[in-house]
Amino acid sequence: MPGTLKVKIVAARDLPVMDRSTDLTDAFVEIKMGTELQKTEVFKRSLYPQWNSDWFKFEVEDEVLQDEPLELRVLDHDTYSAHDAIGKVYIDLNPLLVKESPSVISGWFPVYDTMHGIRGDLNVIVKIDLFSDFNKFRQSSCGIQFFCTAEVPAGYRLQYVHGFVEELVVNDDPEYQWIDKIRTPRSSNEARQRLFSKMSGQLTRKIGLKVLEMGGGAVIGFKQCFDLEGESGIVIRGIGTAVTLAKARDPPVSPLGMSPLKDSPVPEESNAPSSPQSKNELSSTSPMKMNGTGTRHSSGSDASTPPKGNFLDCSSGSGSGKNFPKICSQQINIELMEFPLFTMTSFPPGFILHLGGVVAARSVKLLDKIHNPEEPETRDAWWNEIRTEIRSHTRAMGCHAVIGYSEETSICDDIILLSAMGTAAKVNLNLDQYQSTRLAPPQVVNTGDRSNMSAERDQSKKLYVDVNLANQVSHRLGLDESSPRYNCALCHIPYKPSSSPFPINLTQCACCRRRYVPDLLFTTINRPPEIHTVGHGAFIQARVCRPKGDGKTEVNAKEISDILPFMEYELHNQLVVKLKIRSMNCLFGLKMQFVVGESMLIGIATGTGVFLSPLPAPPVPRLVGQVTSEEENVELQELQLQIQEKLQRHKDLYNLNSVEISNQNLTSGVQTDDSDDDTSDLDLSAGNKDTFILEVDDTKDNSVKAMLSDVLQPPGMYVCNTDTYPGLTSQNLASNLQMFTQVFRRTVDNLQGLNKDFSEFFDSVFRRLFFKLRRMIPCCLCNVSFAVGAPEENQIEIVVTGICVRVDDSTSQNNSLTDNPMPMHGLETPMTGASSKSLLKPVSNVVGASGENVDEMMFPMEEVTEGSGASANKAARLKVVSNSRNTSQVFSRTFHGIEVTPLAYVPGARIERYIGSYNFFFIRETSSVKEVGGVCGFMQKFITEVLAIVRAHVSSLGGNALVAYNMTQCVLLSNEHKNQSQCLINVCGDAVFASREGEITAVVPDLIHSRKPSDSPSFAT
Amino acid sequence: MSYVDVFVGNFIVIDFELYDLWLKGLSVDECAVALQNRGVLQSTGARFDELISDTKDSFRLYASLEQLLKWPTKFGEQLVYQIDPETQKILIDKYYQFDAHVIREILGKKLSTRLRNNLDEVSEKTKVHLRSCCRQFDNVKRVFRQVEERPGSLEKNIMSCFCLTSDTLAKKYAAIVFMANHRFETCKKRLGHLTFEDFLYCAEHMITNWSYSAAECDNHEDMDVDLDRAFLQDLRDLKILTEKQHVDEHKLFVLNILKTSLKKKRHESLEENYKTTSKAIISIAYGLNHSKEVRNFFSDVIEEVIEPFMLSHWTVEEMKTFLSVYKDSGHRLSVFRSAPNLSVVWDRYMNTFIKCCLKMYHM
Repeated sequence: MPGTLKVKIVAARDLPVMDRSTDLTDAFVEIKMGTELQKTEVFKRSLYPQWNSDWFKFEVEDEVLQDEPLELRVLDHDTYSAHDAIGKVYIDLNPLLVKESPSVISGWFPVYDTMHGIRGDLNVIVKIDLFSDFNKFRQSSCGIQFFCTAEVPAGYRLQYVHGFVEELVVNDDPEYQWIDKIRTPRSSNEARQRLFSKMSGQLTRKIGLKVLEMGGGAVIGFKQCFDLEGESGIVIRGIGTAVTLAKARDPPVSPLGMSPLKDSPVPEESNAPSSPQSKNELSSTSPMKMNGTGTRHSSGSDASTPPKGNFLDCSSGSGSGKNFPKICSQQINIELMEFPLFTMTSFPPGFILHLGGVVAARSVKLLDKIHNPEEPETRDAWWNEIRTEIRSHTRAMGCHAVIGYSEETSICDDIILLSAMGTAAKVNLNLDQYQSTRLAPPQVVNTGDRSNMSAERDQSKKLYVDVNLANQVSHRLGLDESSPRYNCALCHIPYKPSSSPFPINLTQCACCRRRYVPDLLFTTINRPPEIHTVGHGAFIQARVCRPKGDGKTEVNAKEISDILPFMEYELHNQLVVKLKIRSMNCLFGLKMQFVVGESMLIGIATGTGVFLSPLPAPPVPRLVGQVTSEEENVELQELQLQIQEKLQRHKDLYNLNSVEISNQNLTSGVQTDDSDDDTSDLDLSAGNKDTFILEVDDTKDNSVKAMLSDVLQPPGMYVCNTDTYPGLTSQNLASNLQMFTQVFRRTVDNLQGLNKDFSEFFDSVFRRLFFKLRRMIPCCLCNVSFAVGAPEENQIEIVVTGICVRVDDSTSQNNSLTDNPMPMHGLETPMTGASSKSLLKPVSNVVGASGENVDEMMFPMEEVTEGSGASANKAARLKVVSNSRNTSQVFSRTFHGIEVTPLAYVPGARIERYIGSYNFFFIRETSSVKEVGGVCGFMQKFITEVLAIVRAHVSSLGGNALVAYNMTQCVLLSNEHKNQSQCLINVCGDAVFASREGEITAVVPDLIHSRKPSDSPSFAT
Repeated sequence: MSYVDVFVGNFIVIDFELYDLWLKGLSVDECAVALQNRGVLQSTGARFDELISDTKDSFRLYASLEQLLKWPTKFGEQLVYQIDPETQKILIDKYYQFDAHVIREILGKKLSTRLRNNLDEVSEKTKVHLRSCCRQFDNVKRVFRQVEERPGSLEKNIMSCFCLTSDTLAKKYAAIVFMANHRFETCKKRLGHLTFEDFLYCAEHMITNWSYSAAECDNHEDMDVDLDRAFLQDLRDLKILTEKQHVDEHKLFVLNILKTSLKKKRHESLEENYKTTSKAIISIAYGLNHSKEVRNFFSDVIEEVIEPFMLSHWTVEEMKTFLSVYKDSGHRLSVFRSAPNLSVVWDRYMNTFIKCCLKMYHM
């Protein structure tokens, strides 16, 4: 007897006219839960029916409550023919099943129809009376909280991490069943939507059961993915991190009292599929040289290859993982977990000990080779292979955990490409946040053996303070947050310098000078607060697009597997160059996506580059090429000049002028490049011994130029793909301005110029974005994430999402941004007219065309009110400067509404409570594309509607924001000849209530939003 | 070319610079060119393509918002667009703004589909884009339909039905509705020189003084789109003033008083024209009882009252002096003493009449 569901249908408004003769509607509502169906009265002749019904009651098993949403269907009553559907409202009941959450869902919900979109709103109240169930063999997992948020939710304390949880549910796709041939598009879409939400419910329930088994109470960093495999079905995958959370106010419970549980997916479970499958393991791909023959400096490019997981060699790991001395309890735990995968991307201080580098694994499979597609075994086996591979990479890096772990697929016809990536790290699971927040993270001072090190960690009260270090840090500090205690140990290599798993440049840590650090560090996580950075972060993106033959099945799979490593190498190479051109040495939030299309393969990698102070400053990139003629030499020199210029401009832009490049002490005898300046005919590097060599085979080759010609954001705008912007504090990020979704699709004309076209496509996406948001400056675009697709032959699709956060310039932070000693450099930098846009300079110094630019940028509202052109003259400019504060206030809304944000927090507000996670799949179809404004109009409308429905659900739960919002899927199918379009969108996030500073926390009436204890009598079954 | 290119935000953010151009009825390309000329592209390094794409995007958004803008009360009960109240207010107010010279063309006409189909002529004449003309026409028509049958103050009804925050705008619409309701003739050639503001002024005074909402009217239940029927009936009583004895008496008073304040030449011409002028003023008054005469009010005033004076080059000041003396001396007539009600009607009529007359008296 798990629960009684009570539903009250109050009213509807703004319903569509269903009866042409009267211009009115006779509406009624069908309420469906599981298989039971009830109806309201027909409210005749009104577009604003008021039912004010009694409570409809349903007695439901909690398994059903978890699996199925409440389905409300609004219909128009017709005496003689079938009733006409107006639309539906689906309500996920899971938020009501968690103890601390509201016990009521109440509010206006948009009535949604898959063929017509939103048609009016329905006012509903939903309650559940739950009975406690002590049945040991239950199939439900009520009470387990799910968070899409990939970090410890605000207001909670991480008590215990149980490990990785995953589940996979498979079903037939209704779109491919025979019945689809005879039913209407509407019922087909609805069947699909219903199936999706049911599968998603099942998936969460099953994961919940696993968590219960492990002894956990919540899942954080929960991600659901839909694989639309076509003929072979629909797969929903879920991954997350099982944890035990405690309210931050509660006294800490010793985690040692709990028995650690084993992570479920063990390699032994994975039976190798018996069918012949074309697959490719990328594990042992070593860095490949792509350069031509006879280049003098070829060794240089190899030597500077940074540590990166997917290029590591398995064999060189030499089983170090198991050999670690087991000294304290937490290490026993982590050993037992056998290389756990954590889906979180931000961690409490002290959690991460060392960062190794990125580990990744990919494999190409054939869908039509699945033996029984209805069963999940084959897919389970695939993923287990991938995870095993990830674990072995991790071990080779001397790490014992993977953090920031994610999985994804790309499907094209019968090919499926599975990829997984994460960051290998050493972590400290036995974390007592109470202690660690008060004490500085242990500063690892002693080099040498590990036992000593961990002994020190145990007695963390003994605090080492290196005076020199402290001075150095404070000297360099300048810009960053003042509060956190920096810990350079995170950057120290987790393996022994002598047994590094791949060729790598090691240097002494610039902070403690006692341990080794790599020259570059790539990670998939957000920037841990303990790591000290200098200057600002930079959005860095690498893109590769390659044409592919039209082979079938195995041939195709083979070709893809063969190309992938080359693409990966090229991506990596681009990332490295782009980092170095920006004088940076670390990437956070690295995301890679590989997409298989019919005629091409696409790979993109995005990350946020920063300069980490423990790591050595990157050398100035130097161009080297095979010069055969004077002409080419000149071109080469020009290119080198461009690089130089770019470098300086970037330094200005990212505030990295304080970084001294010459502070490198190469102490390790590892592969330093032997190609010093003696062989160079272009000595432009400013007396710098250590160089980064860029090779140019052909000066006409645009690849290097392309890497230099990224679209730069306009002044006053910052871009990153992480949750926070390195270089801005949380006080600087004042409030959300706009969450945006951009969808682009374009046909590529010729496959020859594919790569150039492809880059240009991305550049235009950026320019559009910057242009669109220009009026919000000063602002920061956070969590900018790209999803590419190759939906049809010769088509490329890009979906960009992110949030524009207002940057508060009232703090001293901004002064350092704009009034830095940059004009000096600016004078040295050659600039021509409008192209000087990337320079941030005090307005008064700017003359001519560039002056107009700055004005345009900073004071767009001025222009609106005063008319155009007026701002160009100097007087106006001065006036405008004094008005700058007003400008920003134009966009700091006093109106807050319902925020939807991909971030884990709400800028300028504190999350008071989490109300429940939201996950829904929408399908929208139309057979009148032209009439709704073409495919663009259709998409714009649909995304707007999806957001509207999401907001309605958040507010019905008593929330005012949805954090960790993610559009996990956006599939657009369009046939313009038939005037048809169909689109599928999956969104998820955590509904929260957040209060703003200076705002009185809304007192929610007890009657509505808290569960009365007397309401839930207990039954033991 | 890209064939899908959309930008969707959680909040509706309106670029009002662009919105204004959209309201003006510019096409996407015209709009983009206009913006480019203003220099919006220089700041971000964006190209013309991007400007076009942004413009298209915004135009699509405005087009879908237009459904709400037509019935602004729906803004309050919709969940699709998250718009802050301030933006919403500006959106609506701007949407209901109009060009005076466009409205001038349709003023007093029957708001029929035929008129709408002929808006291209208006567009050509006024140099306002056809789409903008259509929007203005549709707005007027919608406002008219919505309030014509609604009891209460015209202005307040318009404000509440269309969520307008500016009462000056609502007043203008009230005047337009009033004019349209009585189908005042405004297109005759001799009315050509009158501007929208002239009519607005007259209509406003007619609404405040001659309609059901006037202070003199005791029956406020009916709508103020209509003229106060009781007042119109009372106006018939003024016919008595056209009887010879009264005309002569009135003429005597008027000319006597004006002897000092008017130039001799003017005085003479007045003496000559007095009879016809006085007759015209009074026949317009009692003619208001017939709706056909009401429609011709403006042309009658111009033709029968104003034009003779204009021909003899009277200034507005002189005209004003004459009319006020004409009004005041009326009270001294013997008939007014016998019928006290007459003087109330006389004042109510003459006050507004004089105002309209002077407004229309263009030199």
